[in-house]
Amino acid sequence: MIARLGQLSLFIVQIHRALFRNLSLVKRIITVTADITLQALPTVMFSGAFVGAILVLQFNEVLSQYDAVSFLGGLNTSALIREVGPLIISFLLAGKVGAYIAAELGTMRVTDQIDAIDCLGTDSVEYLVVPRFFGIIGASQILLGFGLMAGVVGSLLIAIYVCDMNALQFAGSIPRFVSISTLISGFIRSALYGFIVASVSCFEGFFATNGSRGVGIAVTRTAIFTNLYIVIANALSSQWIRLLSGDVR
Amino acid sequence: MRLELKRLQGIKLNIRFESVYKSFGPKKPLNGITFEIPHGKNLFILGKSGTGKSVLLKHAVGLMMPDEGRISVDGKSTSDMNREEIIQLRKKCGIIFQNPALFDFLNIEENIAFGVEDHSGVDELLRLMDLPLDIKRKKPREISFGMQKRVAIARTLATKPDVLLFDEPTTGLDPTSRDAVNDWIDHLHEKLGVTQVVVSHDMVSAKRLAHEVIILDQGKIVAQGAWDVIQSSPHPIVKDFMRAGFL
Repeated sequence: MIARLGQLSLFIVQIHRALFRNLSLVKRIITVTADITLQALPTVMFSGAFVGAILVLQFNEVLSQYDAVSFLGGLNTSALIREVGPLIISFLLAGKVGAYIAAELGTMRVTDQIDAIDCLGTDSVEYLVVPRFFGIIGASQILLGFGLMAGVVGSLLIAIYVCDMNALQFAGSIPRFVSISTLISGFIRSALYGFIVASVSCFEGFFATNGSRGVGIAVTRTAIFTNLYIVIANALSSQWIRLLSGDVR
Repeated sequence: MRLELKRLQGIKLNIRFESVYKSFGPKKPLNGITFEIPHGKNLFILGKSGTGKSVLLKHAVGLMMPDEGRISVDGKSTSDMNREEIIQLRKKCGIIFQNPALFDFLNIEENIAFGVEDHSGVDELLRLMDLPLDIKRKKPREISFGMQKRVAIARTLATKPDVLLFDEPTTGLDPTSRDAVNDWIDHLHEKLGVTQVVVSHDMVSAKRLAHEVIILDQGKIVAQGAWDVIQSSPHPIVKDFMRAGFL
């Protein structure tokens, strides 16, 4: 496990070196970011709306016991931006894009396509990994933006039609709980989780071995380890971001 | 990109394996290998599955590095080469994998021109490999396996390699397709005079095409020489291999 983490770290260094060696890759990164975003957008929007809806129902149940329903919009939006949004979107990204990229790179590895790229004088890390790696991180930011919008809309609709609030009552408490630092912390978390999805999926796929069975193992490992690392990163980052921002809101 | 077939002739790239060891856990696919790739000849490296043949090829082009010993190319060890030198080495040594390894996200023309800057030599290469020109816009999955193998050879030739390395070119092919692939190896040698290293366990192909043969067993060379020398070798593994190969 420790040896594998070491290999993963070296691989990440190799990816960054490849980017700085060839900055013309930025164009391909933008294209891949757009592809990944479009690929995952419907799922993220759909899930975002439902997560927002579920969250507002749960908060409403608790807040109504303390006669604090007026805080529903603020609490719900804050939780969505700060924790639930980045977490759910990264899980979706891991399941939809991470697994796909691990399978794609793994298949290319076991059918000798990656070796063929190297043998034809092209750096396979530059050509295959760098665009996907940074594309996932870029897409995680864009998807978070769209996912949060869908989440807030989903929450608002449930607040209006189930919790008997109007839009102004719901939005009224948002400035009290949500500030620029809340948004920044959400996007930092999302970038961190995107980094984890990108690192693990590219690493597992790129170093897959033993034919189709190896590709299956790479995809399974991607699913397990991205989720595991994301949960650990969530626990650690919650405290770090709190300390760094000096803001408990 | 013009192919300039004559450029491939007469170029001497000196590749030498000196006491090369490589292990993966308890497995030792290369266990003290020493030999030199002969210029302008067809060298066949034969052995059972898992005896380190493909690992050996990957070492020759710097895709793998030895645990011990050295692989020298024109006197310089691959372990001491920088990134740029390794890229140049790979361009000089075209490798054709057991799988055609065509890029399924590119069409045939883009596959052939992948390692070069322009597409002007693609038609010439297709004609050289006896492939129809109308496959250029097709994706690899739209052509037969035999055609894919020939496209893979064309893609490698596009980079004008000095040495061609084939990894089990006839494995999994029916006798007719195997003969066709052997015809192409023969054709490339006749027409281009290029040095070719073929890793295989196909004795029939080796008998027909090899100028020199190396037989590997458990990561060691157990016999080396011309076909006649190998055929008369008293080594029990060589005898077993010869018997099994022609059954």
